[in-house]
Amino acid sequence: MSEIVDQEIKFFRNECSYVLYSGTSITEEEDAFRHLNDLFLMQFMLLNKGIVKENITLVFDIDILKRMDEKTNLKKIGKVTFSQFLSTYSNSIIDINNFQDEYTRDKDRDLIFISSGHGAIHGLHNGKNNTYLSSDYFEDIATSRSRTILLMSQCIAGSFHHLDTRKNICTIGASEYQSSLSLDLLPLCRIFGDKAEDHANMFSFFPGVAINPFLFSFLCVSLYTNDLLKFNRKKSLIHIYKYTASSTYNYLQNVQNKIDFELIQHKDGKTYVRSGYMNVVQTPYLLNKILASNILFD
Amino acid sequence: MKKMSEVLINIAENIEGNLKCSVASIHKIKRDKNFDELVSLHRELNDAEYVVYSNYNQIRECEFLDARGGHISSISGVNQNLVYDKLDFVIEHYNIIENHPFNSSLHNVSMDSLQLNFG
Repeated sequence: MSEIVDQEIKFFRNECSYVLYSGTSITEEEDAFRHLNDLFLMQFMLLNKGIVKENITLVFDIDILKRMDEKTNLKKIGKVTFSQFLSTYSNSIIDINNFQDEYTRDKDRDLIFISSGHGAIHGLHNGKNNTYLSSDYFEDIATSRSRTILLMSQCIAGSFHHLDTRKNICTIGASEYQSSLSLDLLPLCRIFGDKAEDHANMFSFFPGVAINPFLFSFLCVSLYTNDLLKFNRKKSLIHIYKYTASSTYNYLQNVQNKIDFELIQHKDGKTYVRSGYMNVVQTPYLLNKILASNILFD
Repeated sequence: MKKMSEVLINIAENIEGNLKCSVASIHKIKRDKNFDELVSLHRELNDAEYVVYSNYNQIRECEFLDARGGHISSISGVNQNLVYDKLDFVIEHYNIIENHPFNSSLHNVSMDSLQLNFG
């Protein structure tokens, strides 16, 4: 382990590079928009935490942008449309097919890489050319000189579970070897009480969009760190993970409970079979707690 | 506004349950050129009013429903960039924040503290 881990740094700081990544292709219709909505939330979070656009790189299927204004009915966030927001407040947008050719990791800067989209045991799926970005890529770009922090929300994020932490890699996954899922944003936003609809409206490309509950929880903990972690003296990444994971578990457990409840309600008199997927299981994990303990949020 | 169960009186129980559990999302389809293009490929969708997508990442199929929620068709690989009108009902979502660890900690946060425009 290098001396890097002894240095206390902030998660949100302009000496870091931030990459927001989704490989979901426009040919995957609704999934393309909900996964890009996940990235928008992460971009919104970074900007609200003072990260300048020059440090934010977006990676997704750029063909989505051609359909964005129509899909969102030109809905605005602040003074700009969502498509303008994505391009105006980032350093660049790299098409998913060109990522490995066009993106160069500056090995003297810490990298924070946040993913949405589809995944499998092979890694992050690129729906545009049906390939995968595997954990090898991160082994290759990681360095002992700086930190590589991965926040993975796709299915089977555990495919990044075994990276070499001696290279200063810290991986946080929304799931180990389970599938991940999104949930309708409005019920997620009920944690804001009377302001649930206002938050859901602000955060969504269009009504009814579904959001990854792990990334949503991370957003909430990041935006409202002092309101939530008021009993923790040190607001470190490991505590942020703790709150994010417990929030995610709670959402998913409640969903599973409701599904079970429905089944019990209907078991007498009716055959009630849901669409074949009745287990809502997702187990968040954190790799390299040592590094995470020295990354601060506020 | 009416409740979903009052508008979609013929909706299948499994689809209704998935919507209430938030593991599926429903949209009212806007009748525009994109929808016409879809109908030209799938004639049976002419009466489709709503589309339901699963929020599970492993399911790529969507369900088309008529004005009363009756099931018309399940299709994979829809790529017509369907645009949506505002829903004409509210979904009776189940409460998925029971015993949530944030409890009431975020009820009083001010949205005014969030920036929407950046330099």
